[in-house]
Amino acid sequence: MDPTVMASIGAAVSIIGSAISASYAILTCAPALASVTSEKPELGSKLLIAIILGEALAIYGLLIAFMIISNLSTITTEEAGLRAILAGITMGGTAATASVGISYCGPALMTATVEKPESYTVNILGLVLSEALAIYGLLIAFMLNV
Amino acid sequence: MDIEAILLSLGKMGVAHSINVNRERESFEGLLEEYAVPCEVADQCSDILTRADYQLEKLEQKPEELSDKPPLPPKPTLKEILDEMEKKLSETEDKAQPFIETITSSSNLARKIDQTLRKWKKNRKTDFKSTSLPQKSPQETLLNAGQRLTELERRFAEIDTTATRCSNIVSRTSQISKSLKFNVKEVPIQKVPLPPGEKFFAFIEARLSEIEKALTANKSNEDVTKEVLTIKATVTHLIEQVPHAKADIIKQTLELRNLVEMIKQSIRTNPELKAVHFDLLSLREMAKEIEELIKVESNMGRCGTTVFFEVWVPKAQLEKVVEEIKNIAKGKCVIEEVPPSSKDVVPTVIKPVPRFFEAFEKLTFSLGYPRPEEINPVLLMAVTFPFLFGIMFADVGQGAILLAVGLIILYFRGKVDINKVGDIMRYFIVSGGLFVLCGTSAIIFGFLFGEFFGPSGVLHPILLAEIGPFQIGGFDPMHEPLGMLRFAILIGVIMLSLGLVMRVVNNFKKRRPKNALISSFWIWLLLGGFFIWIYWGGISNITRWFAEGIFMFLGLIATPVALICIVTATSGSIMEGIDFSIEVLIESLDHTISFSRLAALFLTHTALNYMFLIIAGVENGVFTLQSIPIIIVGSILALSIEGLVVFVHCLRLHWVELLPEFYSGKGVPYDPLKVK
Repeated sequence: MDPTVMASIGAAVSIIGSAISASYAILTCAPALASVTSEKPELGSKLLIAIILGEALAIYGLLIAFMIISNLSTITTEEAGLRAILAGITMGGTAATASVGISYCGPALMTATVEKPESYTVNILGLVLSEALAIYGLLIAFMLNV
Repeated sequence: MDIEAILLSLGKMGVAHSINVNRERESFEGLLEEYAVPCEVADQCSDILTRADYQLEKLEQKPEELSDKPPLPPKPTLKEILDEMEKKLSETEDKAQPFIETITSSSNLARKIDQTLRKWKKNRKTDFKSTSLPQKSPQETLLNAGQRLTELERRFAEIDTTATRCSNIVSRTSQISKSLKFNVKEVPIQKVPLPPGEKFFAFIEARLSEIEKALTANKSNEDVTKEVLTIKATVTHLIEQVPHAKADIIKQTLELRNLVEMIKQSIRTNPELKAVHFDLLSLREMAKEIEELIKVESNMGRCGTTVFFEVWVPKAQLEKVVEEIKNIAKGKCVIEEVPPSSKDVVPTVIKPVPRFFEAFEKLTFSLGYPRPEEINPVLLMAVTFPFLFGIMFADVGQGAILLAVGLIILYFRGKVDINKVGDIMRYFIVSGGLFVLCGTSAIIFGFLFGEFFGPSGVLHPILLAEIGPFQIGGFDPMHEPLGMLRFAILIGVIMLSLGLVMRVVNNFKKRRPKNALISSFWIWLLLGGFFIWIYWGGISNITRWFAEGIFMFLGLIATPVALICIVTATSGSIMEGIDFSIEVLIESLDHTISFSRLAALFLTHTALNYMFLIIAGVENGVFTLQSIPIIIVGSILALSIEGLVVFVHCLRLHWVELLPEFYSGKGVPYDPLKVK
């Protein structure tokens, strides 16, 4: 296959995967946040972290897609093209896993915090650790592409 | 009754943090009963609160909180204080009565006018011109206004009926004029004032009927034609006047509305009402203070006729408090001074930080309050938070924007009452210092990595230092991401060792030398692992690894882990020791790797800006005029969305990685009972 085409596929996979992941994370967390803030509006700023971490996934995907496209002129061999595809898949895939984690832990964190605000510090761990998966993927995808 | 006097004097001293003894009543083996707060006192207090709230609502005033609390009446018992307050409240109610009447009637009138206007399909204009008020009393003016409104409504209805009757007549005349043969040019118009009155219509209708009769008898002539046409013209003229007259009435009604609003305004600015308002607010405040006292009272226990209570008092004030209680109780009391046991949660006296750092205080205390023997990490956070933020958000241009925003906020900080702005504005106002520090840090790191609105080529990276394989600044991370990753790990190791050093200090403060020992082994492990990583670049090279690496591994990793295991085992079981040391090993690794997000987010920031630079066509640091709007859009995106992401990650690094190393966050803030 033409390396340029392969690289473009990589970029598309990266941004589509991360965008779907971000959307999934936000669409599960935002309704939970809405119902929580209708009860206790003062918790809103504290719990907004779940939605922002979800949104960050899309930014990571954007970064990798952008890196691949800006390197397009240097991707001339089959190997480089393959690396670009792999970078895209890595980013999209890890974003998806992170999204699943966030979308389970975020609403749970919110409902728990309404009942017992002091449990926040423990429960946030699940959220941030699942988000870390996407960061790991981002780093590896970045290295694959450079 | 003595107990109330004691409570009041404790509240005046403002040093006693009350403990709920009813929670641990079991430990008194049934000797202790719940102290019942006298019903009448509690009821009277909530009664006063409700009444004050009701009066405020009637006066259309908001129940705000006063900034300086009013002193309670100087009486020895709560009952007497409440009686005094009730007397004052009744007086205030009497004073408020005329105002309430005027306000209610003016509100009613305003509502009525609005309704009428809506009925006339006219929306009330919201802008009011200030006109001079009549010299009469407001009640009289309102009465007059009410009468005027009825009059206006009547006239409006009259005009409406006139219009219908007129159009009836017009249609009748046009039917008649169809059957007329004569053509009359000039028709005189009779000017009739609007509304013309019943007589006029009766006359015209009778005349028309006559003409109709005459027409059926076919007796038409020029005079009749002229008369019919005159009637038609006159009535048409009347109809033409209707919209005018209606507009006039609506204008007058609007003026009336304006007047009502003016009356309301003048009442609101009345100094007497302001005094009443203030009195109500201060009564409300006092009632709240007494509610607080009653809450503390319900924390107490009772045994027969003796009241039992526990409070935390700072050591320095202890003698004074004991003396005071003895004085008031006239010696009929038993006071036991108990130093805190290891099980007790001692409330922490939290030293106030300068206003500049208040955002950091909020961020830290969101995690939890410090224990008394722990270091309060607010000031440490004020250093590390902007530091990490600056690495992830390194940019001279956008950092300068942040700095400017921060300075503007700081400028307005003193001028805005923080309790009177919205939620989001409050966050902004509080975080002025945060903006300034983060912006400054972003500018510094922007110089190190050569970022000015992204890697635009305006600045060149400045090499600050080179430690082994680590470069602090002096390279372009877009093209050397591995260098940035190394830098991030270096920062991570420095941060984590800082956290562990703090942990050692905290353990010494808590007098737990064994734990301090474990923490220092932990530092050994962290730095040892880090050293191996630098030296070998991991454990990938198998031959070298077996030649010398294994010794290094033994010295730098296995030994501290084993020591942690042994030391933990001496205080517990051996399994616990193994468990804990494995946990330490994994946690060290995990937390260090987590700091690689510094590099990832830095690259995200750079790439986002780079994208806009390419779109704008900026090359070699030449910003053309056309590129500026695109750069502005990019910067707004970076500052809002990307800035928020960086902020959250920064917070996460503190809450998950850094602070838990030495900070439990399980303290209770010292909140003494305070009354005036």
